[in-house]
Amino acid sequence: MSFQNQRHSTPYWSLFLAVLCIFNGGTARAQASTVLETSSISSSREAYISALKLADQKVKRLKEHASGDPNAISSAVLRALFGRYYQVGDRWDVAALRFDHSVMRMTSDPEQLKTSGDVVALFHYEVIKVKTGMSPQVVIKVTQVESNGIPILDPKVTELTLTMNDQLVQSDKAYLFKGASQPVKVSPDGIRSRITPLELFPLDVPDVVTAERQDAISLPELPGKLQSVAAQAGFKPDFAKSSWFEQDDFFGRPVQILWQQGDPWPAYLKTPNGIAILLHKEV
Amino acid sequence: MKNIGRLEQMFIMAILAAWFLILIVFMSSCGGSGVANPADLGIVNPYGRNGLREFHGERNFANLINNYAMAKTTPTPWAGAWWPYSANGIAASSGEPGVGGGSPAGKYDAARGHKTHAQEWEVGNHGSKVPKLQGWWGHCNGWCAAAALFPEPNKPMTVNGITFGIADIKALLSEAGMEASADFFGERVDTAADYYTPKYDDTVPNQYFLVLTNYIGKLNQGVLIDRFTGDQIWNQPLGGYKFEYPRPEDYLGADPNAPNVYRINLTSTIWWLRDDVSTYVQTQPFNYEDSDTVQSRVLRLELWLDAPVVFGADGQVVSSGDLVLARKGDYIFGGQWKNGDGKFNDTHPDYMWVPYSILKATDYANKDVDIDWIRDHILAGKDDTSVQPGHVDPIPTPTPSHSGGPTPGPTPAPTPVVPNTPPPHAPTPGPPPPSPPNPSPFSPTSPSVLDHGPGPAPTPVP
Repeated sequence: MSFQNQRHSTPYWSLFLAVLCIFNGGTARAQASTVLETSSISSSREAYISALKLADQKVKRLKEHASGDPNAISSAVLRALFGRYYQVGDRWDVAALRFDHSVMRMTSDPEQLKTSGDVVALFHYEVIKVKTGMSPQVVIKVTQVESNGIPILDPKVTELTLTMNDQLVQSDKAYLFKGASQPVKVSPDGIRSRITPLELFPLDVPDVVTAERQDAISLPELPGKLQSVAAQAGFKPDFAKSSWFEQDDFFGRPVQILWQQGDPWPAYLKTPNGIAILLHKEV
Repeated sequence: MKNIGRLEQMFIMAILAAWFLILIVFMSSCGGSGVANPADLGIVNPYGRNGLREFHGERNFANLINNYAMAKTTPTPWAGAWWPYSANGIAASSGEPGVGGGSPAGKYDAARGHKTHAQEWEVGNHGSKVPKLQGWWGHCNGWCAAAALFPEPNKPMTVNGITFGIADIKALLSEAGMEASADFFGERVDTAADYYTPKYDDTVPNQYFLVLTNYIGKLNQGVLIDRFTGDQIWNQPLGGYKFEYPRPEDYLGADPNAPNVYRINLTSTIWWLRDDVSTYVQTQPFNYEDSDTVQSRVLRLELWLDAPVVFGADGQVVSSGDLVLARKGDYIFGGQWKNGDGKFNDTHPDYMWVPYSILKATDYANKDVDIDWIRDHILAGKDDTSVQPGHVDPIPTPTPSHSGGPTPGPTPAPTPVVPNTPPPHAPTPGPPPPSPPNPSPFSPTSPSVLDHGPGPAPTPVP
């Protein structure tokens, strides 16, 4: 039955080529044309199965994780990364950049597809509540910082609070606006709202517990506007002490995390909409 | 007395019950969790829908198909023009009668006392003199962002003695919208070679389903698509979508090679606001059907889930797994499009996007067109007393280019552009699989479902 249905779908051989590209080192986009020229073609069925197997592996990985002791896994991950559980008063500073996308532009002119509108902002993180026991919870307060000529991006926002659950997954996200006594809750799982320009910045708690862990080898080149901030702060992660994590967001898009042992937050965090780097910590 | 007492007791019970109900309604309407109402703070509601205080994304197929099988964007984005570069963008005549001469950019410069040079900038950067101009280059992305973020202009506005018609206002909003912050789903196809990479296959069906049901279904928020699957860009704002409710025979179960992934076929229709309309058109109310301002496309797809789909005796989906998306490198996999063999320019969205705000122009949008000034003066109908208005400059004549006039948009129904024919540098596909004994409802041999009437001529083979 499944074979009948597959017959009428988009040709699988192109999908198969793509899978070949992907297995050929992970930097598929750059290598795609080369692989297209040199690969031999296999049946569309094979390509379809290759893609299905990728999905199957992911489901298996997440099921295995879910069947374990969640508390044990999450605290073990944090101990391996940070060295201990969070404590009230842990604090750190982050520089975050929001991409200026050009995907939607109705042109193919390379000059008009270049962007110069990336925006950098600085943020201070502080752990304000830690609850242990059966349902552990960590609450982090994030505030905007004006420094070195980098202005506050949204003066209306007083603070952002991020709450992690027992899986070290962000379970709650809320903005406190000037003049308000109560926060405004937004989606904690990546459905961005229009409430503030801060929403597209990579400020959220990354899910490392269910991510695929790899050895850290190198860091992608930082965008120009982040390079100067990184240089001023002496940003230089030690790869020998770091782990690289590949995670998918709610819509399956890549989230990449470099976490250096002993740090309370990723040294490098890339989401579909931006990059954040850890500048300074007090833990 | 005894009977009266009972009546009194019943009356008191009824009063108490009524108060209890009122209390529950009051608590639920207030959120009941100490969460502030964004409207009270003078800021936009986080998710655009009144009364919605908290929101979590949903990935469960049963929940989504049972609750959000069809939905509209609220308010409906407006139809508009794409202001082609070959006609000088918004430095061209709008053609709207009764609002005076001059282009939208020329009127803007005049109202601002010629302290801006929007018309001159437009001709040089979004006009017919742009080097290597192609006929499809234009302002569709700016129009889409504006149509999703601003109410439809519905009457002329006069500022500093200059009358801006509906078309002028739409044009200026579209220009300002050329640079917008947004969230994207799917990689853009840029060249013919991209037809043979996963860039062509995304937005993948699982993403398509999640974006539609979560943003439009749950939030009624504007979603924009590039309806040109291939290497041109034709952004359109969606008015709504509908998924045909699946039948038990649509459920494919798991393939033995991937026993943890469960598959189900679906048929969807998306409706978008048109760009082949008059510049001053007023958008008709959207009601899940084609009109002078709305066009549609039917798309078939297979979704992948992480647990089985269970149908009840009445045919309802009782339970299911969540949609699963896998990834290697930058490429995302999740489901499969089933709209016929070959490569199409007119099938699934090349990418989807959700706009958030208009950004300050850098080097792509017209730097002289200021969204704040438009908002404060044109949309508000308020003169700018800081300047002396000038005359409206004549409309510049477009310079003929190699590309000729504007390219017609893609057809609404899928039209193969390179059926089973890869580009010269790509290898030859393998032999086609054997024909099925019975035509599937997902077969391309049933084009009537896909055909929504004649459209412009098929687009060129890339």
